[in-house]
Amino acid sequence: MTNKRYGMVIDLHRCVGCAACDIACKSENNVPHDHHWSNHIVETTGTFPNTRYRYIPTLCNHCENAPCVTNCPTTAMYKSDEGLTLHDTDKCIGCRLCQLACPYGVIYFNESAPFAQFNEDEQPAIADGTATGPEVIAKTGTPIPDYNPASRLGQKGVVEKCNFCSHRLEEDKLPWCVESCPADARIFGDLNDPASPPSQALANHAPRVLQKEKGTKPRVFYIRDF
Amino acid sequence: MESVLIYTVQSGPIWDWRVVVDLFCGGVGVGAFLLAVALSRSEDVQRLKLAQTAAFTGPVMVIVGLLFLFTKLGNQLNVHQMILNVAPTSIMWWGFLLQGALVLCGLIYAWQWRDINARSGRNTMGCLVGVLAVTVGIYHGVLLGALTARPLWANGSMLFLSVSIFLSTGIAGALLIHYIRMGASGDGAAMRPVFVALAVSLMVTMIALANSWAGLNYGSLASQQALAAASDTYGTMLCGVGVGMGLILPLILLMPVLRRRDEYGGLSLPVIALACLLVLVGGFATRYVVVLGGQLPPPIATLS
Repeated sequence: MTNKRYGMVIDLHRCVGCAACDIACKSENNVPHDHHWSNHIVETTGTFPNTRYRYIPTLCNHCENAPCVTNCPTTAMYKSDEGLTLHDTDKCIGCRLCQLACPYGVIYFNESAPFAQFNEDEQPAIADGTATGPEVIAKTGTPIPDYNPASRLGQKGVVEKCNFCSHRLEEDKLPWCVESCPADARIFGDLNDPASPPSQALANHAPRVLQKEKGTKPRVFYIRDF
Repeated sequence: MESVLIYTVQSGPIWDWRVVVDLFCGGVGVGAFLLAVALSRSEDVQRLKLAQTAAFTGPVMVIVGLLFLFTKLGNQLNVHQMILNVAPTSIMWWGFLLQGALVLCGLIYAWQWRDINARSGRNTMGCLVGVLAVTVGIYHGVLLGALTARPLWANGSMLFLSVSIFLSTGIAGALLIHYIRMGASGDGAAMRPVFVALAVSLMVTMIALANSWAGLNYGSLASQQALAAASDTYGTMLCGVGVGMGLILPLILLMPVLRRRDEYGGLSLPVIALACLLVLVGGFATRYVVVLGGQLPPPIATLS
C-alpha cells in the first residue's frame, strides 16, 4: 500500500494552447484519431472589444469521488492505491454507463477496433507516391503505423481514457503530456508530499477545478486563470 | 454575447434505441406482473384470464428487453463479470441482480398460472413477484436519476415518471395481448376496474410529466439548459406522440367507459384495443425522448 496520491496542476499562465499535449498523448497511448484523452475547451466570451479567450486543457480528472467508478457494474473502472482512476478492459462489458456518469466527457468508447481503417485503406493518399495503411503495417511489423509497444492497444467494444500514463509512472517517469509540454504548464506529482511541485504550486496559487459543484473532487487543478 | 464553448467529445448518443426498448419492455413487463398480482385474488373468471395473460406477458417482456440491452453491450462475452465482481455502489449491478431474480420468479409465477384454478402457492410467489416488480420499476428510474452528470435525468421526478409509465404501459400491454388472445369473449363490465386503473395511470403519468417539466424549467441553470436542448430536438415527439397520442387521446377514448358502467360503455372492442395501442406507442415515445434527450450535452461548464 503506497501513500502516494498523484495529481496534476495546469498553469494557465504558462499554457500557450499549442495542443502538443493532445498529440503527445495520442502517440504515447495508441489513442485512436477520433478520441481525445488529452483534450481542450476553447471558450470565448464578451463583445468586441471587451472579449475574453480561454484555452483550458482537459483530461481525465482522476476524481477522488469518481462517478465512473461508483457506477461501473463490474468494477472494471477502479481507483488505484495512488489515486489513479484506471480501467480494466478484461472486466469491461461495454455498457458505457461510465461515459454517462462522467460530467467531463473524457471517457471514450471503441465502437470498432481502433485503427481498423489502416487495415482497410487500400488507396494511398497520393497514387504512386505514398504507401497504403496495410503496406506500412507490413513494413513496420506493428499493428498500427504509429504503434507504441509500451502502451496497450485498445480493443473493440470497451471504453478507454487517460490513465496518467500509468505505465510510465511504474518506471518513475512523468506522464508523456507533462514531458512534452514546451511551456512546462503541466505540473505532476505526489499531492501527499508537501515538497512536490504540484503541492508547491497549489500552496502558492488558488486552485480551481472543472465543475466543482458536481462534488467529484477532481485531482486535476488549474492555477493562474486569466 | 453569451459564452461560446468549443469542446470535442465523442459524437452520437451513448445509449441508443436498444436501451429505450429495454426500459420500455421492462416497464411493460413490470406493469403486467403487478396487474397479474392485483387480479390474482379476483373471483371473476374473466379477470383471472386477464391475470393469466399478464402473468405470461411479464417475464416475456422483461426477457425481450434484456435481450435488446444485451445487444447494446460492447463486450457481451464479458457479461459474466457482473456475477464475478461485487459492485454495491453501482445501481446497474443491483438492477442486474433484481432483474435476474424477477425473471426467475416471474417464470415460476407464469408456470403456476398454466391452470387458472390451481391457486396453490400462487399467492406467495405473487407477493414476491409483486415486490420484485415494483423494485425493478423503481430501479429503472433510479438508474437514470443517479447520473448526476445528466441534468435531465438527475432528479426525483424521473423516478415518479418511470413508475407511472410502467403502470400505464403494463396495463395497456397486458390488455392488448389479452384481447388478441381471447377476443371479446364475454368480458366487458368485469373489466371496468382495469380500464379505470389504466385511465388513472395515464392521469398520473400526465402529472409526472408536468412535474418533471416544472422541476427542470424552474430548476438550476444546468437543468434549464438540458430541458431546452431536449425540447429543441425531441419536443415535437414528446408533445405530439408521447402526450397527444399516448395520453390525451387514450383518455378521450376511455372516457365513455369511465362514465357508463355497462359493457364497454358503448365502445367497441377495437376502440379499446386502439386506446391500449396508443398508450404503448406514447409510452415508448416518452421513454425515447427521456433516454435520448437526456444525453444531449449541455454546454460544458468551465472553471468554477
